This record gives sequence, structure tokens and C-alpha cells, in this order.
Amino acid sequence: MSADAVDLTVARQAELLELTQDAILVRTFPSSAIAYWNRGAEQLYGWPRDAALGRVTHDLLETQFPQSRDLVDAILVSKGYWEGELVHRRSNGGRVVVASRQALRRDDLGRPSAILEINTDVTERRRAEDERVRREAEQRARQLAERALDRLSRLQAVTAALSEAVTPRQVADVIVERGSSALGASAGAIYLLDEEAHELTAIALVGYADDVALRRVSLDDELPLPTVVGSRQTEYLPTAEAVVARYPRLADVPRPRGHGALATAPLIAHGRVLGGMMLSFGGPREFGPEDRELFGALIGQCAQALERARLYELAVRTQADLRRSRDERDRVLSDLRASLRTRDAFLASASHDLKNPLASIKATAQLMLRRLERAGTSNSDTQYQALERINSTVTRAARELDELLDLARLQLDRPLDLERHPVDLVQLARTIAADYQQATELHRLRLETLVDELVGDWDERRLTRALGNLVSNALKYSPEGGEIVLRVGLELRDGSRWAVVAVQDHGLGIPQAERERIFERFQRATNVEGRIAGTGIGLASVRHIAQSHGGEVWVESEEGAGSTFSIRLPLTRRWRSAVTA
Amino acid sequence: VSASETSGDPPILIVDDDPVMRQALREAFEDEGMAVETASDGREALRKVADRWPALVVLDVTLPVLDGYQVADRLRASDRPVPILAITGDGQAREKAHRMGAFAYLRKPFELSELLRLVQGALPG
Repeated sequence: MSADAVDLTVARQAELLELTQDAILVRTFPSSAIAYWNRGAEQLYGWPRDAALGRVTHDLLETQFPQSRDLVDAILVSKGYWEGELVHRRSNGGRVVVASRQALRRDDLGRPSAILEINTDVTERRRAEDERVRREAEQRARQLAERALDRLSRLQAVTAALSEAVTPRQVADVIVERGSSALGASAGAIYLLDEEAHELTAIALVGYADDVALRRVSLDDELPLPTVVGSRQTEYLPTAEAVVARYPRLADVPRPRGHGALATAPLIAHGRVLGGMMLSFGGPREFGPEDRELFGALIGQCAQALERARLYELAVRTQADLRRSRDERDRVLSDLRASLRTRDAFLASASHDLKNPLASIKATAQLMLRRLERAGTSNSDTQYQALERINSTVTRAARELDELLDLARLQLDRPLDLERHPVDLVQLARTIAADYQQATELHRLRLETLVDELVGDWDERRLTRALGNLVSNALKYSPEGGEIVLRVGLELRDGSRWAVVAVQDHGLGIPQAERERIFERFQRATNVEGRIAGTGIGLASVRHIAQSHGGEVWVESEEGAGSTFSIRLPLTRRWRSAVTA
Repeated sequence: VSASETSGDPPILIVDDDPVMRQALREAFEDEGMAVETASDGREALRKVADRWPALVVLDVTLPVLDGYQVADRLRASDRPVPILAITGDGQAREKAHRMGAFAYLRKPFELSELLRLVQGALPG
């Protein structure tokens, strides 16, 4: 249908509205060509009537429909009327929002022929509306931000209060009190898990009547805390009805404060369940994302703080234990010192009591020997020889007794009572090398030294035993034979002069890891244990003798290549000349 | 010097709580022609010294009643010096001898010949 065919009655009717402020136009249907354009339309859109007539409205005005043009047309056809907001473009390019009321006209045959459209400029109104909505949104956003800030500051207050809390109980009190107020809960409780007892124990109960809250709850009870501790899941129950539906047992619990919603969560730190926390509310509560976030943050803080407090208590207890054990150790040490004094006295008297009879026998035997000699008795005489045997046996028994007493001192970790007098270490080593050479054909013993003599104030008997032990070991642990070298030398160390005597063999050697251990009592190297007989006392005795002299013993070794044991002895001790031996 | 000729000489005082030792030493010294007195504890030793001032004391360190140190202290406190030969049965013999003011020491069991040599060396003349 063309613009010419427009029902003129409609146009005439429209002219009546020429004076209105509203834009009134008539467009053909369905082609939408503009057939009428009033003054209001000229003013609103900026297009003069001549420019507008015959144009397709939606092209001219670039109409933006709320949904679609088809939908608007469909409503017009079916209902004859449409009302809504459209956005149009003006001739100057600006946009205008109009409240549009449109009515469908039909021709005599009842066919849709034209649409009358009355558009009212609501741009200002719309802008004001948008502004209001924007303001509201802004205010809501600000409120949200303030609430978030408030929540944050409450959490920070909790954190600050927590930093003062030291024991689990203090931590729990802080969390329950601050947490309840932060979330607006009427009561709260924290329970700690006692896995051995298979139960939860309350360490903080705030706001619950005494007869309501249980101090101890079994993990088997069908109650909120055991449930969440078991499931490791936080549980939100928005109403009292939901609480009772979930936990029928709670139906019987009196609710003097009108308990409603309930939030319950396990307290987990480093993957370990420490216990649980619950907050009760005076009425129903939806537990929106904000609530859940805040509760979750509280739970997290609580678990961390509880764990920290637990570790702190552990440290305090450990410290107390340490103090107790220090006291205990001091007591034991003092007992030990007393017993050592007793043992020293015992060793001295044992030595005296055992040596006196030996000395008397020896003196008597020697008296008889002297008399036989004086009477001209031959030393091949059987009496003479018997007395000699007594004499040498007593001497050997006394030496063995000395060693036994030294061993007792070693066992008691007591230093030796040294018999010091000037000893030439070179001569001592030479004698030992010669003595032990007699006992072996497999080995060759050799003395190496750059000094002719090296005299120190030492215990000759003990040094002879120490060096003898080392040489005897060297023989024993080089079963294939070979050379055994004794080295005597002088060493300057820490500004002092030291004598060093070393025994080197080319035998089995000692594993790296055992080079310290072998100096311990009854410790033997694993590569000889069960292979070569020994008591594990020889090297301990050597160390005892070296240390009693203020010296030391050490070993350098290579497994399969041999070992070198060295004794270092101080040379500085002055020899007292007031007494001669 | 024979035993009969020296009966008036100051004796060697042997102080030891072991009777077998006292007997052996008495006979050994007498065999050498020396006069001998013996004591079995510190108090007896001091009584013997008061009776007859000895030429030399062979003194065991460990004694009943008064020990070797106490005896040595009394001997040195007098204005007549007497040489002391210390005998010990246990350790630190040199230190002990030094404390007693002994001119020499022997550890038990000792060589009889060594004891006789030391005593004879210390006697005047």
C-alpha cells in the first residue's frame, strides 16, 4: 500500500493533534512509509515534513525496539495496540528516547492498512531515571564496600586479639566472642578433639545456658560437632526447624534464647582436625555468601591460632620437662660424684689391701734369696729357684693387679694416678720394638726417629703398656705380615712441645666410619669382628693412658692398606727434682 | 760394721701395719748389721721416736690411727731432722712422698735390694 492510499480520515484526525507537543506520525502497514508527520514530529526529530513523508520510519529514525520490530508488529496486528519505549535518532544524529503509543488502523475489508504513532520525548525522564538507578547502584556498592571493610576490620580485630592469646583456651575465647559479634550470633562454642578419648571437649562456651551445652561430646553422638568433625565439611542450617530435622536429639533441648540458625565447622590446621566450632543464632539466617565467607575466615584463623597455641603449650611443657630433667640430671650427677668418691676410696683401699700381702711375700722371698746368696748357695739350687719363682710370680701378679685397677678406673671414667718420672720415649720404643720382634717372624719391626732421646715426665709403666697395645694390635691386624714402623718425633703445636710416637702397619685397616668408635670400650672394627679375637679394651686403655697424661691418641687408616696409630704427649710438665726415685 | 758393734747406734724405724713386712724388713736390716725398731701404726711410731731418736724412718703412707702424713709432720716439726723413706701401696707415690718430705719413695711391691741401697745411701758416714 502506498502513501497515496492512506486513509485520509486518519490524516484529518491527526491534524487535530497538530498543536500537541507530542510527535504524531502515520505510517503505512506493513511497508512503514511515513504518510503523516506533524509539527511535533518535526520539532522532536528535526526532519521537516517534506523530508519525512514517504520515508520508511525505521530507516529514517533508526528505531531501536525493546525486543524486535516483528514482535511489535505482531502485537499491533493481534491486539491493535502497542505501547512501549523506543530509541530514535534525530536529524542531527542525537538520540532520543520516546514513550510510544501505536494503534493499528484497518481498511474497509478489515485488513491492516496504517499505524498511528504518538511518541512522547522521555529522554530527560529516562536520564533522570537512569541517574536514580545509577545512584542507587552506587550507594549499594558503597554499602557493600563498607560492609566488606567492616567485616575486614572485625577480622583484623580478631587477629589482633588472637595475637595476645597464648593458650588454646584464650584463643577459643577470643574467637567465640569476637566471632559471635562479627556474625551477630547469640552463642558460640569451640571444642577440641581428643582422639584417644574419642570425644570433643569444650574449651570455650559463650552464650549457652549451663544446662544446654555439653562439656564433652562423644564422636559417635549424632550432634552437629561430631558430624562436621567426621565429615570435615562446614554445615549451615538456616532455621531451628532445619536444625531439628537434621538432629532430632536437639528437639528436646530447651532454647531459652530462642535458638534458630546454626553454623558448625571443623577446625583444620595442616590437614589435621583439631576440633570444631559452632555459632548459634537467635533467629533464622540465610547464610549468604558474605556470611559464609566471614565464617570461613573465622574458622581458618581459629584453626591456625589453635595450632599455634598448641605448639606453644607443647614448647612450654617441653621446657618444663627440660627443667625437670636438668634438676634430675643434677641430682644424678651429685649422686654419681658421691659414688665416684666412694669408688675412688674403694680403688685406693683395694690397691693397698691387695698389694700389701704381695709386697710382704716378695720382701720375704727376697730376704731368703739374699741369705742363700750370702751362704754361697748356687742359683741352680732348687730352694733358690723356688724362691725366684715366688718372686717373679708376685711381680707379675702385682703388674696384673695394676692393670686390673687401671681397667676399673677406665670403667669408672676416672683418670689414672700416674707415676711420673723422666722417661726417654726413644728408648722405650726401642725396647718395645725389640721385645715384640722376638714374638714374630712374619713381621719386621723398625724404629724411625730423628732424635736420639726424647725425655718427658711420664708414667713409664703405663706408656709401655699403651705402646705395647698398639704394637700388639699392629701385629694382630696385619696377619699377612710386613713391616711395622715405630716413629718417635717432636711436634710444636699451640705453642707447646709435644712428643709423638706412632705405630704404622700395612694390615687390614679400619673402615672410615669406625675410626672414632674403636677407641670406645668394647668397640671393635666391623672388618675384624668375629675374624680376629679381641676384647675391645686395648685401644680404650691406650686412650685412657694418653688422656691421663694430658695427651691424645688418633688413627689414620686406609681399609686394606693399613693403619697408623699415634699418641701425642705433652713435654712441658716440669720434672720435680726434690724427690728422686 | 757388724750388728754387735752398732747396738748402741740409732736404729732404723720401720713403720708398717703388715706384720709379715715388718718381720722381713727387720731381718733384712739386721742381716746388714743395722739396729731396727718397728711400729705397726702412727701412734706407736711416734712413741718409739720419743723413746729413741731413729737414724732413718721407713714409713708406709697408709697406716691405722695416725697415717704416714701425720707421722711425717711430727717428725719434721722437731729440731732434729730425720730422713724418711716413703712406701706406698697405691697411686701417686711421688706426690705423696713429696708431701711427706721423704727423700725417696718405693711402690709396693718393691725390690728389697733397692730399699737397702736407698737406706744405706741416706745414712751418714
